[in-house]
Amino acid sequence: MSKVFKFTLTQLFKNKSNKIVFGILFAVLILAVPVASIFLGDGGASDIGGPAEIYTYADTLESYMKNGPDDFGTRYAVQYGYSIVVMMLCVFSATYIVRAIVEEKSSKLVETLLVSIRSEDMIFGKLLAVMAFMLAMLAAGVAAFALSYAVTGMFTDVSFIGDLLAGFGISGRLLTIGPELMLIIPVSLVLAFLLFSQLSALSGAGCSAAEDMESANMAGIMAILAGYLISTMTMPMGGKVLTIAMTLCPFVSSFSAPVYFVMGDIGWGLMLGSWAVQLALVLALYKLSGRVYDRLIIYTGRRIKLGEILAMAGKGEK
Amino acid sequence: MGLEVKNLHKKYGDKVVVDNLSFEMKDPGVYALLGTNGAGKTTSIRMMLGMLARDGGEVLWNGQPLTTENCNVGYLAEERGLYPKYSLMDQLMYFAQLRGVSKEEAKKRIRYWAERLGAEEYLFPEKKSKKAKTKPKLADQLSKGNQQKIQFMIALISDPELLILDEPLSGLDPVNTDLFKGIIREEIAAGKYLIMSSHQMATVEEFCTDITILDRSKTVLQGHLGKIKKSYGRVNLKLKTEQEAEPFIAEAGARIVTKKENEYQLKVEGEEQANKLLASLIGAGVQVVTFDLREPSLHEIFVEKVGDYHE
Repeated sequence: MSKVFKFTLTQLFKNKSNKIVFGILFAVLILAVPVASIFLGDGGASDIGGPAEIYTYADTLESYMKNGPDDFGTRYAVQYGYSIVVMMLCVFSATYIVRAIVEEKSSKLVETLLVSIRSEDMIFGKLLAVMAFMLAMLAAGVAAFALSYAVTGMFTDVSFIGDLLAGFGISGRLLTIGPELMLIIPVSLVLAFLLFSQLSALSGAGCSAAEDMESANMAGIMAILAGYLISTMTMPMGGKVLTIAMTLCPFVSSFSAPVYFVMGDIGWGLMLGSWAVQLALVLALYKLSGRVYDRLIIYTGRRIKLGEILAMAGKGEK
Repeated sequence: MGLEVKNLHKKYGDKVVVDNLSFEMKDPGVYALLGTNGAGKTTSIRMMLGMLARDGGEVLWNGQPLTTENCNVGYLAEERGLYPKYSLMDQLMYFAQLRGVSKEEAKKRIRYWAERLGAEEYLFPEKKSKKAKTKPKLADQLSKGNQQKIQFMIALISDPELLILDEPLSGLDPVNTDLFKGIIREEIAAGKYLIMSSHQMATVEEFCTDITILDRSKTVLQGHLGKIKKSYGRVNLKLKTEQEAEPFIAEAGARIVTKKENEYQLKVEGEEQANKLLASLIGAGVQVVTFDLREPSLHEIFVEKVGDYHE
């Protein structure tokens, strides 16, 4: 699996269009803060000439007691922001994964590969490589934005970013922000990625020609969009039963669970429960994808839909 | 011990695609799996390699179930390809490492096979100048024959003890066919176990010691090629004369298969009938240029065994 991972990752970084996308993303995020400061900031130089001022939020006790620590707007904004990150990560990855799998099948390489490696390891190696590539892009994006923020803050006032977030109702006062987030966000992102990308891999396994790539990709994307929409619609509603359901229901929980945790709605117990459900499903799909892939090695007909694939996998034979 | 295939069975729904195939390779050599299209050759190979689940039977290598962990297998699949947009060198290194060959050893072997197969210009392109950067060649920049060389290299890169070649020579020009044949001969001489599936009977005859002919999933003929041919007797006669020989052929009871001027391909019942024909020709003063009495070719045996399928 490690060899598939290494090879796929190297090829992803060598790919010309990927290099261009990476470059554009980096450039946009580097320029984001200085350009935004021209249009949204006051344009003046920072008084202290160092890093940007720390944004603080002041509220009256009466207002705080009346509205409570969270409100509809905040819940929606946090859920929306996190869901966008998960959705983008998974949608872009789905495209890469379907392409990688269909490319191998249409290039008639599968049999040569399967002499050396088990199909589930081959698929999983690819998924991990795409995940590493996407996370590298995400990390580079965050680093570029942070650099842009820090450097721009040396020359001009960048407090407008804090104002913007506050405008959406997002501030440290309302969120359970602590060191545990450094664990919760990456683990949740990885599990979300693995879950949705396994679905995309299954969908890709049903194709034998490059022409079917788009429709196979769409099947994976629809599942991601469904999770995204359900989570953003249900999050602001609150309610204990709904919270537990959305935390434990796979696919939706990939979007919801970390946000519920950040909002203080659930504790470690439910968070770990959500991860356990997701992990179990990832492992089940890992086994199924290998089985489906094996069964469809010699298949060269029309694209087999995701529903048919899952039904086929359930029959339990190669 | 070698390779043992016992009662390999596969069906899709009610349709049996491989019906209890069994054969054995006790010693190194070449075993041919022959059959019409859809007879079950490729399915049998896929089952042997564990790519397809078997409905019955087992495949043993030195007494143990064959896996790619206990047997170093090289496989040139019938459905073969390369990553179209990745560099050839990257692909070869990848496949070598998947087969457990170290990076350094893989580099040496790639260099060796590139030289043997005349693929150096694609794998080690020369720099036009010292400063010039060489652009790695991609698979889709190669002709089909040259791609096949790379695929053959992939099959050989792990120096396999069991080499399975599914239609290894299809689509090759005569020069590359000879090149591939030379390498196959070397592998045989090196004591490897080879399984070959091909529709080119002359090639199979050239290399194989034992054969199995499959027809619609069933084994219709199996055994040592030499013995099989011997069992048919010498029934093919190639005759070339200076004068017309047709009346003598008719008189001897032989059957003309083809005739081109005074050159005949004949079917005789055996050596006795052939000798009788020769005696009558000489007795009549007909000048005999060629008189070649042979066993039937594998092609003829194959057509006889599976011919009903096409009728």
